[in-house]
Amino acid sequence: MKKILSGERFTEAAVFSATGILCLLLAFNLNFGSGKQPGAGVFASDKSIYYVYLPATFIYGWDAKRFPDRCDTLYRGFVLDTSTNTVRCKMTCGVAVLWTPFFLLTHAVAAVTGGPADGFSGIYPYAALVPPVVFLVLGLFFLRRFLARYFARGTTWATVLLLLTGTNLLYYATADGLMSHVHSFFLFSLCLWLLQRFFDGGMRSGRLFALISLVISLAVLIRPVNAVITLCFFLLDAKSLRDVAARFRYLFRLRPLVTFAGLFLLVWLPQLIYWKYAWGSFLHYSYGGERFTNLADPVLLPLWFSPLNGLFLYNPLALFLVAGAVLMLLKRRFDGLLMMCIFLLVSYISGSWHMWYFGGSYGARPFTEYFALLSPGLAVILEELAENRGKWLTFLIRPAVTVMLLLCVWYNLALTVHNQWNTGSVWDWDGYRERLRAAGLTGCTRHGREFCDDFENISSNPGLARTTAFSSSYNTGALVDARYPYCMLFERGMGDLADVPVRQAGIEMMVNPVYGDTVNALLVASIEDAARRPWSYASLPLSRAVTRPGWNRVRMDLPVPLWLNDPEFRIRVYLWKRAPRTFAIDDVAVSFH
Amino acid sequence: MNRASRFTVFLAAAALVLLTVRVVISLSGRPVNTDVPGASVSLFIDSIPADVSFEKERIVRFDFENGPASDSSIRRDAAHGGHFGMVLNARHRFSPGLFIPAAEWGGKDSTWILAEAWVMSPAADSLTQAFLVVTGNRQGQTFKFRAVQAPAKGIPHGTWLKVRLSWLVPTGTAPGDKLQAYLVNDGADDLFIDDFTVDRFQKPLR
Repeated sequence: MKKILSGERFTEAAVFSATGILCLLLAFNLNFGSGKQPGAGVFASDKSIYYVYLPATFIYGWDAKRFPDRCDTLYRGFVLDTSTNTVRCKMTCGVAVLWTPFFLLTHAVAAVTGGPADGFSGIYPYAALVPPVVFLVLGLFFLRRFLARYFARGTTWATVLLLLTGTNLLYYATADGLMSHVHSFFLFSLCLWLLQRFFDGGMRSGRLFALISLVISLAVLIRPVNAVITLCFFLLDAKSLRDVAARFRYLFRLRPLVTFAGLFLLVWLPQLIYWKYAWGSFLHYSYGGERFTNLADPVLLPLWFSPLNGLFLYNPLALFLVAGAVLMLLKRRFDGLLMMCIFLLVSYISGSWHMWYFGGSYGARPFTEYFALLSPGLAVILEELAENRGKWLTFLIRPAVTVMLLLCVWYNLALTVHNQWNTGSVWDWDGYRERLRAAGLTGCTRHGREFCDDFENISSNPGLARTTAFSSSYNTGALVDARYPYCMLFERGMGDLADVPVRQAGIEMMVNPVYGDTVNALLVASIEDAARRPWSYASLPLSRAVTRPGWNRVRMDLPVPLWLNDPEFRIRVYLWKRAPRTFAIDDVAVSFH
Repeated sequence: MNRASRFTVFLAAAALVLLTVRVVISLSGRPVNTDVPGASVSLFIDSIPADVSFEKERIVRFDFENGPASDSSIRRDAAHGGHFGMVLNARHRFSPGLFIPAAEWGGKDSTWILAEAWVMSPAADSLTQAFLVVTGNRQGQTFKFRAVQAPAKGIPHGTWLKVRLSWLVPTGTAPGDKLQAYLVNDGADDLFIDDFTVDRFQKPLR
């Protein structure tokens, strides 16, 4: 007993138990704290799609009519198609496969205790917080075991704990645990550990190869783009091109090929059956019109740096991961090449997706699971700092990097707890500062504020149709619907614009007449009371400002009297169409000073 | 343990400690009514920016603990906290409250008033007759009026309800303008009120 509880295993058990408990507490507070309603949030949106496979299979027998009334409207993810009596999900079922034992246990407890056993209410939302934390801890465990082969004990601990606390991995294990990322992270970590053992054994273990095939198949079932992990099979720990060639030859031998194909088919069988049930075909592209529209011109800079969920802006620790990969490349370590390939490939794939900012993502979520593959980069930097005994390094660089790393951690923890749906435009730095303020990270006085809508982000404005056919910046602009006489562009209370009273509002936008050279509409800005009476008003005939085909810049100012700086009043900026014309707009900016 | 190990172990431990601290802060940050015993429902109309730090100063507090008044409006059975509360009815429609000239208010730009009170209706379905009012008057004319009324449904009979109302002091307020905050009973049935407070929130001078 003493032997079991001493040394490394005891430390491992203690640290991972503490991590699991802390993450569970955080998950509970983020999902149910501060008056949040149980249920809808845990299963909301995309999360409900990953989850619905379970109640559909084990409770409702895939009969859409047996589901609770308007269940799909509440969760806004999966669709209950009552005309064909089918349950429609765009995501694949990998998360549900991993969750099956947890769900069955929860269902049994609900049935035994007499609570509602409907899969959505009662204990289900509470129990749903546990599996992501379990997969997180297992993922960290295997990742540390993988790293332990190359790095010192302290370095492995520092790497996995910094990765947890300094990146959005924590957010996707606690606040949005039902999203796929933490599950992919677990499978990636497990895959790395298995691959390492497989290569250490000279690629002779058929059992290990079968396990690797199973893990890769599951990862691809969770998220088809996870197929990127297969690169690891060819490049991980490879010393030369000869090693890479040997692995190719191994994979295309009959036995491994049949093993991989057989297991892949077995793992994917439930998905193929589901597609046949829902769409009548064993193979189906379930994302409809959502596609990789930017393959020729991926959106990379915003994906990495923009306030709209940019990777490095919200996960500054990722800079260390990539810097470490570059360092490994410079030292001619083959894994550096693997890491850079993976980073660039994931960037290309994510930047090519039509919604490159991934909706309500917290900091470029497509990268979350790949932090497992990039983690050696951080470990290399830590090891360099720890082992090098140069004078400059000891007294200057090491303390500076320590402070930077811990600041990254504190920044991420604060944003994780205070995250809110990002509704801003691509380069909305004022909105980013607001988020930092809300998280308690900055407290400077706001002397003004600019709001900008470049229509890249999701919009629910009924008077506008987002379009990729006309845009003056990036991919998307908006067509003004000719059917409605008014089109609201901006509306906000006058009480929360800045910390000091504002004196002037400036409105600027791009207008493209599209079907002619004139636009018969007025741009109106008005500050109104609760009864919609205007107290300050300005308008500009667009026909005067739009003088040529193509994009025209339009600008107008509205004075704001001091006494209108009051939450009782709202400012509205809208288009008032005198004739039913369709025209395009983009980059609508409303600034207050 | 060598120096290299100490450095990385320190980093690992620091990350874990920071996570612990953040979880503890997050757990302890939940709003809790510590000042009030018993079940209560809070009706909270509040637009004071949550992300700005204000200096809070209590301007008035009516807990009615001085005991019964000669007109019998202060009673033991109307107490929510302490021993006494006030009864508003057809005879006493208005509570005591804040009635001061803006010059005495000392307000600066972006100064907020937060008025809070506990109300309870001993008679069934008459809670809706309670209004918490904050107004500004200039020479007898109201220039800004806000009131909050208890909701008609969802409050079990006999439940104490906390009503709150925040009010931004308008930027153009003149020294002679009157600022007022009070509770009014707009019906004939008894209404119990207790612990009526008015706080001022203003940003500290930089």
